[in-house]
Amino acid sequence: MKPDSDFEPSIKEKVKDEWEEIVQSDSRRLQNIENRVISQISTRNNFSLLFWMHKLKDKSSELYYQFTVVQRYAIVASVVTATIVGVLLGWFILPARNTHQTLTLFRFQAADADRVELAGEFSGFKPIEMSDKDGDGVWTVKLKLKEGKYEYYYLLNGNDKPDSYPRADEVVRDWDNSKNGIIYIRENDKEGSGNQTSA
Amino acid sequence: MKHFHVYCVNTMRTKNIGSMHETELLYRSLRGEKQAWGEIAKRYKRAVYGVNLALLKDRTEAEDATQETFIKAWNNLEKYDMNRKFSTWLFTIGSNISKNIIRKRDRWRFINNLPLVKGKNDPQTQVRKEKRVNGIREAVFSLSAKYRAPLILRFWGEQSYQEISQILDIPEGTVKTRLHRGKTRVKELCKQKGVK
Repeated sequence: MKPDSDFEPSIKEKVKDEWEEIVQSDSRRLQNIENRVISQISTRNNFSLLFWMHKLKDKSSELYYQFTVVQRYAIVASVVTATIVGVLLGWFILPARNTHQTLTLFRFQAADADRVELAGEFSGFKPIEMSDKDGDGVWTVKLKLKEGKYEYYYLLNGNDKPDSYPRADEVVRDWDNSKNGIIYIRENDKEGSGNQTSA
Repeated sequence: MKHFHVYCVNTMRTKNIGSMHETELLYRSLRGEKQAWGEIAKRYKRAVYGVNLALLKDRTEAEDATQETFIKAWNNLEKYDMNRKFSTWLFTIGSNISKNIIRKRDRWRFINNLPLVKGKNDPQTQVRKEKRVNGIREAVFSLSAKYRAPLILRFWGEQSYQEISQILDIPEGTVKTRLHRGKTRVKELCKQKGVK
């Protein structure tokens, strides 16, 4: 191999001149680079989140390329496994949200009514149609309700409210002085255990 | 160093930053003076860009890499050994950033936006010049980055074999081999194109 100086100088000079010209032609690109650098380093001080984010990015990038492809896959696989294990552990260990619902039977006797509806906090006081399939004058509807206190009322023939709520836990006055019932749903009123709550 | 510190403090208000020596600018940068670092960036931006372009072969990427080089160098300035040549240290950071960009690329993009040199006065001379320049340019860019980068660092950046070895993180012997092969290849290509 020839040492560098033994080559004819023309190639060296040509490459040098050519590269100089390329960089010179790009001087517009580099015009304000120092100002951009100053503004970047000003925002990246030790107290900003951005600085630490860039630092973390640089470090992780450096670290990433230190590993071989197999090692990278191994790291990714272990991180994914750890995440899945973490999620599963959390799923089983952490207390479950209270999603239990109690099947509640609402019954109302109104033999002379043509139509009876139920409205309450559980439906945003939107009337729910009740039914009397056997024609005995007892109108029923079954709802699944979460634990809590609910205010409700019946609507007879789409207009009238009854004066009494014999099965309600409490009776309260509504804004127009009419009566509303209150029902308490408790967690131990479990569906399927025969403890159906009724109102 | 103590005397140098006193000198810096004394001349802080009186001296123009543009006329300061590199060592002084570095010293001020270490103390957190961003304007001094801006002056360093101003002085070295072309050199860093040239080296990054040699590695990346893409102007926009080289520009981004140049900016990132100065930011990274600022963040790691306390690690810089004053006994080492500053340009070599800066080129090392630049080449590491460029290498990372290359690794992140999904495919090798060829540069196609290099402006050709247009002839100006005498048509014959200019045609010859155009042919020569574009031939050389084509030859240099047709090399792969591993041959082009040492070539540019040696001929344009005027770095020694040892410094190139440090910048590109390759053994000195490899630097010599790659330089030789790169140069031979450029020569061959120039001959093929009829560039004298």
